[in-house]
Amino acid sequence: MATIVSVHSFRGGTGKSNSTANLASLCAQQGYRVAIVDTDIQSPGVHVLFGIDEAQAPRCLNDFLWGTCRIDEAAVDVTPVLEGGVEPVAGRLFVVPSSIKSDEIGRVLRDGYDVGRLNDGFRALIKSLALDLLFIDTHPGVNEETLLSLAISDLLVLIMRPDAQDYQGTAVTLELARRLEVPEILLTVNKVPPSLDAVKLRVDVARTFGVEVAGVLPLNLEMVEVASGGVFVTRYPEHPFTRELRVIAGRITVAAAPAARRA
Amino acid sequence: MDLDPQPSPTLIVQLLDRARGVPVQSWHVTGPVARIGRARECEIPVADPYVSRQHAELRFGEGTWLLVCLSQRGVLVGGAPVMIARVTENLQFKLGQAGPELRVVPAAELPADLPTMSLPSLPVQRIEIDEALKTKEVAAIAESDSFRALLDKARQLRKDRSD
Repeated sequence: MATIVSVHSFRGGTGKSNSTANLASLCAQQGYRVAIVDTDIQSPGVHVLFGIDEAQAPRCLNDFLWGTCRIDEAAVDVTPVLEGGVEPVAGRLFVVPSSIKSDEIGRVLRDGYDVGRLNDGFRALIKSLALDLLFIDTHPGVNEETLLSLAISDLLVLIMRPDAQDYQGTAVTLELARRLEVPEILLTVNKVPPSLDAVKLRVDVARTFGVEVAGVLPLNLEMVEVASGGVFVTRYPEHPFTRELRVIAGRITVAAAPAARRA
Repeated sequence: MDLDPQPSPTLIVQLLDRARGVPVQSWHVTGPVARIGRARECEIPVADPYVSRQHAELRFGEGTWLLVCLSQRGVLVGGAPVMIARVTENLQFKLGQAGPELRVVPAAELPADLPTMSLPSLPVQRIEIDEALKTKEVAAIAESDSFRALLDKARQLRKDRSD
């Protein structure tokens, strides 16, 4: 039984898409069969990190939602991208990208899509690709689509910055996730400047939000330099950021069903 | 290396603000050894994720202070990595490529009334949640019919998946 992991932020700019891509990559390196579905249809971004262009992805999530293809036909195997790094990859990684064509984005915004179809699609994808983990990269904020993602998730990773603008909204999202009975919820603080005491921050956040803090990720200048031109963890396997992310990935895979773990 | 039995001259070590290069914190070091690192037991504890638990130390021996690197992340003086450096007047060093800069100032050279902090303290980040507002915002969403329907659906889906 696959674990569905939603990665969500109340606001944009928290590093959600980057973190999702890198977390999923670390899980694939460890031997899991992993997919990322970019449900941030309004502002898709995951495909950029893996260098997916139209030629490689003639079909995308939008096509599936409009009923013109099966969901696995929209999945791109990006394992070769990870294999370009230093670490060997024992598992597999797939990405179901969203369309980057502005007219298609406009169409979704105007017409909406069948949210129930999205859920059916996830189950079909898990089956067809024999997945252990399915990461959902959600649109920021609280809306019908993101609430559905929470409702069908086994694990929610909430990402926020140590910034007053993020705190209130994250607290609301956390409470809604609890009301939707999401089985496991983890909080990650990202883009933490070196002037903040990371240890104290972790304790303060855990106490204030009453939730497990899976990781405290430092403000990462090398990541800014990579500028989403690649998967950070494959280029910088020993960077402190990667190490902390690996701890978070380990925490996520602990939540994965034991039967799904590879030898 | 044997440590000198005579008392060592005091050093002042300053942690410099990254953006402006001015001291934000300082320590008096009397020796013979002062450890610099993230670990709380260090005489100079630096809370920075890029700093190793035991990153470097200042050691007095044979009449002179030395800066010794203990970490794989390195200690940089003038941009170049050093394993051991003699402490000279206003020696400035960096704890790793990504770490903070510190400066050593011989105590004898400082005026007696120099304040420890050269900047007003940065405000301590406090995480504040307006609970009443949160309750109101949550209720506005959670008490809608569509939310209740979603919760029922969620329960059904989870039950189906575990069967």
